[in-house]
Amino acid sequence: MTATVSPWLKAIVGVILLIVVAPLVVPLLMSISDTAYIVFPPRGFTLKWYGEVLANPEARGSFLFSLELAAIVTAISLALGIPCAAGLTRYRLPGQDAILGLILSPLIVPLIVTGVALLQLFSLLGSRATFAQLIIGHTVICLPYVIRSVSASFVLVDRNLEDAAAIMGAPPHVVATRVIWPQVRPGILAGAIFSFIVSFDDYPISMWLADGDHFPVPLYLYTVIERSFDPSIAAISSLMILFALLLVLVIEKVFGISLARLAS
Amino acid sequence: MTVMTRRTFGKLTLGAAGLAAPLVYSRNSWAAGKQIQIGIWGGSQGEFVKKRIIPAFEKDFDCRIVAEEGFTLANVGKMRATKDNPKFSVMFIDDVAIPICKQEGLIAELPKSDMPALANLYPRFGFDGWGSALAISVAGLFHNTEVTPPDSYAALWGPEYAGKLKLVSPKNTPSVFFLIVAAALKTGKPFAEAQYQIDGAFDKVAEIKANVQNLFDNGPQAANEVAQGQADIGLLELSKYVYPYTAKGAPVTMSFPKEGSFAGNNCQVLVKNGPNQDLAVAFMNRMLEPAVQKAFSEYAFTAPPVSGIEFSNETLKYLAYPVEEMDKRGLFTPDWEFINANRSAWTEKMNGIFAV
Repeated sequence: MTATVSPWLKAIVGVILLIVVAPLVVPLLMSISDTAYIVFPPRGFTLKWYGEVLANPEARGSFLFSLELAAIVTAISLALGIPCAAGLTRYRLPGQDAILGLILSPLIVPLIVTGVALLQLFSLLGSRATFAQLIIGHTVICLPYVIRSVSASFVLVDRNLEDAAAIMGAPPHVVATRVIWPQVRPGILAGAIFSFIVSFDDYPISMWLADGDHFPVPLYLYTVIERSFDPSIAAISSLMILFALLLVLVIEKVFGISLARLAS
Repeated sequence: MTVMTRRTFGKLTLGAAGLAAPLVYSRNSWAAGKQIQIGIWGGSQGEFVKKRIIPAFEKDFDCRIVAEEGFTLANVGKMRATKDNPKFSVMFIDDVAIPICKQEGLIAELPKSDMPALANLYPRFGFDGWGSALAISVAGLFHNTEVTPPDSYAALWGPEYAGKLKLVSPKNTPSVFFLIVAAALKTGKPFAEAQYQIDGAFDKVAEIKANVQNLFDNGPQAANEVAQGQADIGLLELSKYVYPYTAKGAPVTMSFPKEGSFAGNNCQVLVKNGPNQDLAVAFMNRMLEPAVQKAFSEYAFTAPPVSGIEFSNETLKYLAYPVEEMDKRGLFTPDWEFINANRSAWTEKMNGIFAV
């Protein structure tokens, strides 16, 4: 039997969605304004701001660097986070709560403090490897997100299914890939998405650790806003919104997992 | 008689260039392969430094300059965090931070003998040898061109401006200029004396609250909002954030009330014990050379701190230059050592007044 949804509920959800989406439409409209400065509503129509942004090597370089950084950080966070989450949820370890608290502490300490502390540490170590510093810094703040979401999945794994598979003669690697993996996959994917987004959007850690050769998108956006508040900023914002939409579509179509399922 | 053909002339030219190039490179050969990291500002100034000044310098010195865009407080924070093992060699900061950096041992005195371009620096922009100004902006009111600005700051406290003003956030340096204005209006004294009486002027500061629509911490964004008519007047901001829009045709410009204006001095400092100090000093010297200063000023609409630069009348509309013009406009530079010692307390009071 299918439950009917109240028209009132539909209306309320519609209004909420409108409130959420409306601010995203504003930069899209401002980005097509044919003026040397940002105006709303837009005046005239032009796509030249998109052309300028896409042709700008600084913008392209920052965007590609952020993608590379976020992808590497996500891979490392998953490599460290999945075994860590499995260990913390499936076994009793001495000092388990302390370990968990330590791992999650970057979520509690203000990121700007974490950033300056990391810069001090790297300086004392004599490190000049900016890219490595950024990877470490971003991994520190992304790892808690991976561990939280993957841990939640491991907690919900039905141990009876594992026992049943083992009793039926399935070796451990088959139990892991055919029984456990399908149950934890959504949590891992959610952790990967969070990790990627947190790294891609990070400003406070990058502000301390980046340099002119390693300049992520959020820092670039800040400098562009200071340079000139023209519609090219709205064009960059619009491209980032479109990129996020594309990411959602890829996740849904390629991985076959809806965001609604991840959120549930 | 030898006839010089086009081919002969070409060969001679190539030969001369070939002979001259090694001279240029040998003069700077000590810098070949060296690298320094510098912290610069964002904004149009940062853009010009990255795209024009650095590539030419790297070519002339066969070196590498890694520039990181930031702002004064962050740049000081980076110097503090890396004090024991400096990562940066040159930092661009505002004059407000120079006394702090000097006191904390973050910066070194400039080696005058290695910086011939210092000869043209106006003495007031030398900071006793602990840095040099690179660009001078004028801080004043910015307003929509359809609005007639008042000729005195005092008028901004009047009821006709209720809800029509944008005020600079206490986070930003020009908020100190606003406090000095409030103190000057309350005491009737000039800025030079009023700056020491800010503590007693917060009731005057509070009186303007009804006229303030909101606080801003991003100058270009605030200028853009005033251009769109979202507010009539903004106070106070540096000309380098407003005039680029004026020059583009946006309906926003600046005005300078009769009480006087403020100098916003963007400076460079030499990081103490930073890597490759010789290259750092050469870069700082390059920043002060006349050709660089002229192009830099014309791009960012700021006045150079050195004498002898010629500008067109069109450019001079936006600059307070030369030094006689700065004096004529009453450009005032606060006593930053006194200001810095009190600023955090004043910021708290400002936050208390303007908190929603």
